[in-house]
Amino acid sequence: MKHIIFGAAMEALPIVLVAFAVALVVNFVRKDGLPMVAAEDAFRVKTKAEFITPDDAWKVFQGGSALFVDARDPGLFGLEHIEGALNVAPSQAGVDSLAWMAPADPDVIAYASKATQRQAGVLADKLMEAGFKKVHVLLDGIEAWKAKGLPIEGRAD
Amino acid sequence: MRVLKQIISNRYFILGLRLLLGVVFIYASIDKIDKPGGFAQAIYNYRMMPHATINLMAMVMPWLELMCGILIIIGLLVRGSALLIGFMLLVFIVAISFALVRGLDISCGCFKVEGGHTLALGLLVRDILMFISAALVVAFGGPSFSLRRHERNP
Repeated sequence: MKHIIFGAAMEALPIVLVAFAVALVVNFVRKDGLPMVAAEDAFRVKTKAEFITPDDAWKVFQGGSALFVDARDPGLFGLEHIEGALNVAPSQAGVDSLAWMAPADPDVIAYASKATQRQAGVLADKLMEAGFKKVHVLLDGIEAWKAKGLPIEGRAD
Repeated sequence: MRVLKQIISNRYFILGLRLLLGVVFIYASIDKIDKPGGFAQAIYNYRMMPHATINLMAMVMPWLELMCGILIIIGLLVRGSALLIGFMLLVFIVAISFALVRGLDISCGCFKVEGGHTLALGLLVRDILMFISAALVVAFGGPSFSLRRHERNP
């Protein structure tokens, strides 16, 4: 058995080396290549939209003008989401599906989970580009909303 | 026991496992190669890797998946590819387990960088089954149905 694993490891070595070489060359050539080490804030949320706390979002919700958009994947959305929220992928297709609502000028509140708030930021920026004027990102995502005991719905109910 | 060993060492059975692992890993690599930034974010979301290693991992892992997927299908460096696939699956199993234990509400980043599967026990079972498949290919994946064999025995 040791002989087999040693032989496999010897076979694996050139694969790893070639994969490293190809990856580095492709990354160097492509326009959206990554820096070798990510910037300190590379994975933080970057958005032109303003953040909104769950309490303030709840006030907007009660005012009846809130449109919650959930940027998470459909699996998580199906499990649970903010009451009345729409599942919108942070892609051009996702935003296009919502563009017809822009003239009504709703208070759009984009959210994801705390760990994936960046997706909410991306969605918020795309919605602003699509003509929505009042766009916010829910601070700390759906977890913060749930922690306040605010209404959610979905299969987890 | 003997029958079981005959089945798991059967060359058609091993070929089936090779094709399965190959297709899965090639498919899994495509979106990651297309969106390295998104994949780096998916790795970051697991909160497991040191910050300095995230981008390098996001660059290299998809190419490793693609190469291993192709090699294991065409039958070159089969055992080496299967060993690497097994190693990657082990990393995924550990990452998913930790994320589930910590209750992280994230997508797995397995096939689609943005969106895709929600972390769940089913994913863990899938990865464990594929890990066993990779181990069997390492153990019994000889030169059958390979380009190398063809070269040796034209």
